[in-house]
Amino acid sequence: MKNNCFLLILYTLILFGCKQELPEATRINGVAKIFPDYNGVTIPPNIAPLNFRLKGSSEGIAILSNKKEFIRLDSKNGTFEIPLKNWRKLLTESAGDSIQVKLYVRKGNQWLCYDPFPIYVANDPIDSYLAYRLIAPGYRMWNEMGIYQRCVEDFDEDAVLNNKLTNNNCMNCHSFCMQNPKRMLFHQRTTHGGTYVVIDNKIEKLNTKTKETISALVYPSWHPSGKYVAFSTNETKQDFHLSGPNRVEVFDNESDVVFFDVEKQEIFSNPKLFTKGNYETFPTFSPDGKRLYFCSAPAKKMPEEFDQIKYNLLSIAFDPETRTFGNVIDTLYHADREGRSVKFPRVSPDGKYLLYTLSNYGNFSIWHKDADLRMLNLATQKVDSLQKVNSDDAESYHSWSSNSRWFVFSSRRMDGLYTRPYICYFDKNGVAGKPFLLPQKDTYYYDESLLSFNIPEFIKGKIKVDTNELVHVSKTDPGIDIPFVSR
Amino acid sequence: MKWKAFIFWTFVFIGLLSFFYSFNIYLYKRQEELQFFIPQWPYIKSILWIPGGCCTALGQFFVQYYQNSLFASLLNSTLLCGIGIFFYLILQQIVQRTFNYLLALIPVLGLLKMHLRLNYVLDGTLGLFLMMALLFGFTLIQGKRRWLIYSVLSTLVVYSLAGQLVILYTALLFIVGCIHRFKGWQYTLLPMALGSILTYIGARFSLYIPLIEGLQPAEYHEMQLQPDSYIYYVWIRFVFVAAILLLSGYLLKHISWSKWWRKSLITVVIAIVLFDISGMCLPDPYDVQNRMADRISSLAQQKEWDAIIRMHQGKRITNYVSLNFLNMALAQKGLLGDKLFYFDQKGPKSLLADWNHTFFMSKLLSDIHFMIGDLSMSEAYAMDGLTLAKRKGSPRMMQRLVQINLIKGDKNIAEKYINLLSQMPCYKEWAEKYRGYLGHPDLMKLDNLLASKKAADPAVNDLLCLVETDSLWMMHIEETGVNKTALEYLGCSYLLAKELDKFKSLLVKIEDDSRWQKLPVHFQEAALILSIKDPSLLKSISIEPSISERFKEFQIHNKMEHPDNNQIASLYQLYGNTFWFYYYYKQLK
Repeated sequence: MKNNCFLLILYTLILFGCKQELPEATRINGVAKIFPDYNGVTIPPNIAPLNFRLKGSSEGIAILSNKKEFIRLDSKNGTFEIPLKNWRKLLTESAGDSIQVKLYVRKGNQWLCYDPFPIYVANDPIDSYLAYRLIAPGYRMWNEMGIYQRCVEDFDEDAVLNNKLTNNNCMNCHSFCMQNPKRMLFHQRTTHGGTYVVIDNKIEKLNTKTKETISALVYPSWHPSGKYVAFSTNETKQDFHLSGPNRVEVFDNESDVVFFDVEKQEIFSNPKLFTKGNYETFPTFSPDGKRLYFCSAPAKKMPEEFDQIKYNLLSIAFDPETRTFGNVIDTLYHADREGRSVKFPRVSPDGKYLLYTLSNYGNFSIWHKDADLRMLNLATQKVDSLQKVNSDDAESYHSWSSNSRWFVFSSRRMDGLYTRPYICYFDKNGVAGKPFLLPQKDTYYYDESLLSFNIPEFIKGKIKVDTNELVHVSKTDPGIDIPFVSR
Repeated sequence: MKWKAFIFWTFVFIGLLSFFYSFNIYLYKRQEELQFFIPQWPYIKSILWIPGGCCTALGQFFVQYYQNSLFASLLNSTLLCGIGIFFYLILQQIVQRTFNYLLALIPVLGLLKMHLRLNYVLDGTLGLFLMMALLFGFTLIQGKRRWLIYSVLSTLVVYSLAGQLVILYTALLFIVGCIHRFKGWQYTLLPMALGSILTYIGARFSLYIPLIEGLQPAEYHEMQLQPDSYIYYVWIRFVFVAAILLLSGYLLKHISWSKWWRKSLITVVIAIVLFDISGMCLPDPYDVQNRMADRISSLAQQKEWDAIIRMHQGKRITNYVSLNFLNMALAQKGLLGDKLFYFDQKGPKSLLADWNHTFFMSKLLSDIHFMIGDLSMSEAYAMDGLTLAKRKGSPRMMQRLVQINLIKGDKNIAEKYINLLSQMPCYKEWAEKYRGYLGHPDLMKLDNLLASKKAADPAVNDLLCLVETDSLWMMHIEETGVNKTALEYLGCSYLLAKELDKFKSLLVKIEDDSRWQKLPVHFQEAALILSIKDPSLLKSISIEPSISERFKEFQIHNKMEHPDNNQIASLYQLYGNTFWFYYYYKQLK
């Protein structure tokens, strides 16, 4: 009742305060269809404007308001671009509350007024930057690609490194230590191949293929101390499906988990993580650095048994002082018993939850339409199926913000092929909100883009490494050969 | 004397137009299908924002209409002729001589050569056209102050529209300033300094490429042959040549022009140099071969199957790509199994050449697999082609992906591509037609192309690496409906590989299938060879009497144990268009 009064007063103020009156409109039950769908989403107080458009181009008026402020937007073509300054003011006032969005849409000579819908504004801010790779979802080939960073508070996007500068090679697996942009690494493949570790703007190129390991280092996860990075090594293959909803299958013929000691510049492992009989992969450290989570599947005959390989979610203790591991491996998800396959385990920075991806089989879930996210409460061991978060299409890679209140994940729900980043609120009670698409200035951006957002990772600030220096090191530095040590 | 210049350049224009319209029309179509450009302001705005983006946007804007060969030829001729005219006029400002006509043609010929290459983008010539126009304007300015203002302003204009070309422009400004206006030449140092600073800023702070990379040869930039990358190598060469010619013009100015023999000698020497250069600038065998490939590809796109077949009749075919197109044309006409060996086939790769990770092969293989009904394979190649297209995508590959995804029922992604294509003027109509299928998939049954295709049965899912191509084609044959193309490709692949055991298994499989009662000619020919060892085969296979009779005659002629070349040649005259000759005498590499 109180809210309705506020709204009534506010709309009255709008009516009398506006230079332009609102049109006489027929009231329609239900909310207007917009893209992206921001109805009922929860957003951080420092997010960029949620520009949106009406589905179907038509003249419209949008009123975004809270108890004190409002923004009126008039559009001839149904596209609404919210001025940054006004938006920031509105968000600041709405933190912990909501913004109501009321839409007037012109159909022919008539105006229609839809029910307002809420956008909830959390008190918890989000990390200001998001890093990702932009790449065409090509099956075997790539062309232009790059690692980019986007300020989520506005629309600025910069290339950290674009492969036009490095002879069109491949770059991937960017990873940050505790969302710290000053401590990161990524790989380049084929030309200028190597692992590039960037610490406080100092760049080191590492040659990480050893005769003891299957491959050069692949999927990374930093130890919170920054002293180690867990990697997988993989022999990965790709092929196409003859039929069915999944176009492509990416699978490992073998994989192991190894560790890179940043200070000693050597690779080591543990026999429990380096077996022939199992495929160990996707290592990730707990935020306290005392536990390693990873996925493992019993080896199968590949590719013939590609759809029978199912990964368990396991964990093992780790002592960072001595570089030793525990004797017991805990199973958090038993693939045989549960019937599905786990990948991408990621523990929230507060250590309370573990987010992972689950699909029917295999480990490269972005190509599996059945792939969904799951949230494990590490204290209670209860699993949340995140129904509000998942969709009918693939949800795959994900990462946490530094305050554990937000996570970003890759989803192909828009069209089934192009991966888009979605951001989701996760409150301190462990309840996930409705996710929202990373906002863009141009509301047609995602419709027109032929690039996928790959490996979205939150970072606390801007990556400031000198791109000139990165290119120079890539092209001229022979790299440091990293040995594999048995202990 | 102006009428002389008018007539000369009119002839040059007509010559260029004739050349481009006769030689380049297929190249234009390929260039058009290698770019993804939406002529809408938000899209264009994002390109214009970058220095040099104007050339990029304008280049792509024009290329989107390159399906119209006349327009493309006119545009290219106008640009090259325009550059020549500006160069001529600048030379005339230095010294008025007849040989300026010839000197001005040299850079035009150099650009002509570039315009024969697929990798060369129009943006480069647009930048040069702009530069030459402004340079000519510079020669008309009187007064040092106006000179200075014009040179600084034009430097800024060149930078904003053509990016790093500015440093080359200011270098030419300096040269022209020194030559044309010796007093006050130092005023050109200011725009040169400005151009250097702007280029340095662009290269160093925006593009992060070491400056030395601008001097690398064109091949080094294979994937980056666009002006907005750094500094177009073609620009460097053009300006280098222009500088030499301007200096040559200046030096020749000091030679007395009064004696007729001196005039003639100098003109003849320049003419000889021009003649030599023109030899290097005209199409070479590589360009001719590319043109052939582009022509076939264009004919295939327009479904001119008869023309493709006619192109190859009676000719020795030297490459698998041509054979792939030819055999695809035969299959489209339902003649693959009847006429395969009427042409010079070279083993199973004559049907499916190896994929060489290029856009061209991705497109070809996608088309062939689509025709046969291998939708997954076709989609894979189409997606690779879309990725490999130089300028952010390919509308042609997008069309294929629309078709495949509509057949598979993936409406969302089909709609995405339809929405994109509908914004491109040359694809709008096609896109709207296919948009109709989104809401009414039953209408696809009325579409000749789509109605015959179906998505693979999800119950039979497997990875393609685990399914041999012939097994895949066998699946199509076993499906309901009549997929004659799959049968022909499967049978012909066995025949081309001389795998008669497998071919026999195929015959046995289909012998009771009423859809395949009338076998293609070459299949019957192969059955006759098989019947030598297994006469019972002919009980269930119907062979035309004329083919049987001919086989008997062949067997009589073929009794020689070790025929010499003349005997083989005679046999070829009589039976060269049969599987029999291929089986017994064609060497497979």
